[in-house]
Amino acid sequence: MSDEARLTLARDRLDALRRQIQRRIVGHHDLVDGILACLLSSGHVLLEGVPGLGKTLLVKTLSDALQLEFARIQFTPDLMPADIIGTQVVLQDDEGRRHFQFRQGPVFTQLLLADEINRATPKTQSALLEAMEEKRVTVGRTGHALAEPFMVLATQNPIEMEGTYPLPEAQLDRFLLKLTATFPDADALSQIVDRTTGAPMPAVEPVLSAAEVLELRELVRSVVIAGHVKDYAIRMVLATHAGSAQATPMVRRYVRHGASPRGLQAVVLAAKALALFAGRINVSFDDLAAAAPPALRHRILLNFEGEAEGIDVEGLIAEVIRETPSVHGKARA
Amino acid sequence: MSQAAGAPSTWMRHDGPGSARERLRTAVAALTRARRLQVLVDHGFGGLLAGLGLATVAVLLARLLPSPYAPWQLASAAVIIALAVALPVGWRRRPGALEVAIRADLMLRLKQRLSTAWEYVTIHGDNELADRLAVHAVKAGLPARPWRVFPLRVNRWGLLSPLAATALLLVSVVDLSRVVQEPLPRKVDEQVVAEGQRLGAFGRAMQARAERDKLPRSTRQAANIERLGARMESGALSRSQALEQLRQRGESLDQERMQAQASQTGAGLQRAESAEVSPIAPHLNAGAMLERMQRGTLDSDDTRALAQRLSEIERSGIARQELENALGRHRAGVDDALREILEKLAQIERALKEDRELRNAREQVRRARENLADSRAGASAGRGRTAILDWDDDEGEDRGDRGEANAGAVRRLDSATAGKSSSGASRGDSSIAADRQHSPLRPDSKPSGPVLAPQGQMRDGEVFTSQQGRILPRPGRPRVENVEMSSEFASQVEEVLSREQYPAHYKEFIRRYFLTLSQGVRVPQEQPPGTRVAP
Repeated sequence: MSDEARLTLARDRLDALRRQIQRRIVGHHDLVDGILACLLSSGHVLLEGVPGLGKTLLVKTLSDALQLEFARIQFTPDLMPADIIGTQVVLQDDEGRRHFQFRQGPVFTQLLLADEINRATPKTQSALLEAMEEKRVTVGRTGHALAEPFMVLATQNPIEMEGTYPLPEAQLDRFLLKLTATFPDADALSQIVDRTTGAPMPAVEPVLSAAEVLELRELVRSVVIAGHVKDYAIRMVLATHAGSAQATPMVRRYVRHGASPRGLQAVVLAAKALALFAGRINVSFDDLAAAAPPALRHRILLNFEGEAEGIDVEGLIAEVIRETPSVHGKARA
Repeated sequence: MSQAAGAPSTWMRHDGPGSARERLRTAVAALTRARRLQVLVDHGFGGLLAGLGLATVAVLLARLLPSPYAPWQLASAAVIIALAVALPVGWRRRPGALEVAIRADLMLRLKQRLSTAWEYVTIHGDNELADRLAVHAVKAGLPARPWRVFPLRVNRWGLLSPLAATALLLVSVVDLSRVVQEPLPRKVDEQVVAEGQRLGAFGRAMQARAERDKLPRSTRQAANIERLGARMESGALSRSQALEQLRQRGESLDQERMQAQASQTGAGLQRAESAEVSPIAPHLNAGAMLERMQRGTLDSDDTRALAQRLSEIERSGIARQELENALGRHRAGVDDALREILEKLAQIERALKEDRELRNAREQVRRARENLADSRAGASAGRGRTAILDWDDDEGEDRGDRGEANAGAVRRLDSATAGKSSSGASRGDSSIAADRQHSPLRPDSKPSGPVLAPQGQMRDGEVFTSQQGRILPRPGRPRVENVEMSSEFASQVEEVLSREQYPAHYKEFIRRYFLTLSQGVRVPQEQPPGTRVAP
């Protein structure tokens, strides 16, 4: 199959996947595109939104539309790391000899829904670190590889902060994108009511297999990024650092730590996925500008002044995008 | 089928990778040419604007200042030079093909397809990915007419050029003589200059005497008077300014005298009623006598002089008996009492000298003010006694008010100094004071009506005004030429000049005479102006 045919097929499959998701999910197009971009970029996604916006339903619908194994962990304060990665159990064979055997936890899946991840203790949260970064789990002295593709979709509630444990920066950095579920408008609410209070929820047919997901991941990585476009992405990430020459006035005043190199990788990978969604094999400035907010918003740490004044990181990123010159010193409008 | 394979089809030619690459090259080349021409034209407009601006300045300067070139020559040269600079600069700044592709991407909203394809085609070589990118770029829609992407436009410099051309035209045709007039040479008041010369000479002489006699107040005031004289002599001051400065100097002298008298009284010295009636004989010279005593060379002539002037010394507050006792003790070999008396006498002597110098300086300043005020009043009277006085050419509209104020100041000065002048304290100008005292034009102490013109000694007559220009000295340099004079004659010059009142032109003559003496040159038979040679 030629590259162009693969590209066309990928677009068809992605369109079919979107259609299946939209059978259950009303609106949330950006959220769906973000999750798909994360899936095809081999990343993990953190979904943030108030309860009742359909985050969990979206993840379950995605798992139904993909022929991937799905597991869900409801994070609670008493959840232990062994509850996630598994534990050694003592088994007795027919001859009466006892031995340890590793029983896999729910992390051994392909799509893992970590629901309300900020309700577990940091010790339990960190149990996901190795799985998210290296796609493997070490128990005792034995490493256990996770199945490919592996993707963690974590959700967290931004308003109920009592009894929660905010994710440490190291773990936040592991998420490729942080997506925010916004409140639907009136038309979307009307459709939601119609779909959920009447007939049973429509069934979702699987349209992508694990192999096809892996193939799409290869296709995303084959999207090219020109030198001047890459320079723009670098300038944009550098502009999030207060000590950088490209830093904007707000960044200089309110930012303690800017985005990491992993943030630059996230921006470029997500932009490549967005370019593929658009049927292009090259990254554009617009792709980078669209990928920057979800890829950078959880990687920028405000200083005390920024926290005290309630500075919105989204506004900072918007200023960075606006002020960073795309080419020849001309800032994007 | 074989024919179709042998001849390249139209479809293959337009959509095949090789064709796409070719079309990409062609499109980018055309875009690059269009963009470079656009940049060149932009720089051309910039050069034109700069040239017109330069031409405007050059024509303006050529019309204001003498120039060997005609204005049109300068204007043409400026425009040609500016264009000759701007166009090569535009050529050097011509954009590269990748830069043009990036700009075209942004203008055509090609989502960086064109620039990415061009980068991979030109830099990363001939590979399959470059072909795919070229195909994508071609499919996105390359511009058929690059002139529409980068049109030849009139940029902001071009839009401003008509304004610059208008300015150049205006500068070329407008009559500049109305706008720019040659500055008139500043008119110098000869009377102020003459009074400045007189005051300067007096100040120098006074300073020499004060330094010689160690009179600190007189030294300071003499320096100020000399400086004021120099300013007046240089022509830097108008008449009204000179009058104001003289008024301030007179007040300063009065204050200095009062302070000196207060310090003398505080020191327990008995002041004389008048400096002219000195309580100490002028030839006594108590200071020199004291020095001789300190050196041990006080002789019998000195003691005899003291003994002969007992009555005069008594007027200084020293009892006759005390002085006689001191002389007796001196003859007996004990000098304490006599030294004490001589110190007191020397102190009184110095105070009297200081007072005399300050009073003399005050008189000189008063005379200068009177002379200036009188001549001004005379000039105004000669113009028909107009209510608004035109005293100085460089004064503004408020000169009438200021004239009245100055006249009032002179009147106040007169009333303040009338008593002193009439008491015979002045040297050689008591007649002026007397005339003023009995002048019918002298205003009453309580004027009954508005003052129409300052009163003075000058009468109606022909008014002479000087149109002579004087170059003002540069700031920081001395305003009066310093003539170095031999020290052996300097004191004599100053003494002669200060002893008598000479007209200003005579003073210079006297100074030159001593100068030639000091240089060992034969005295020329030069006569001062107005000197009548005896047969």
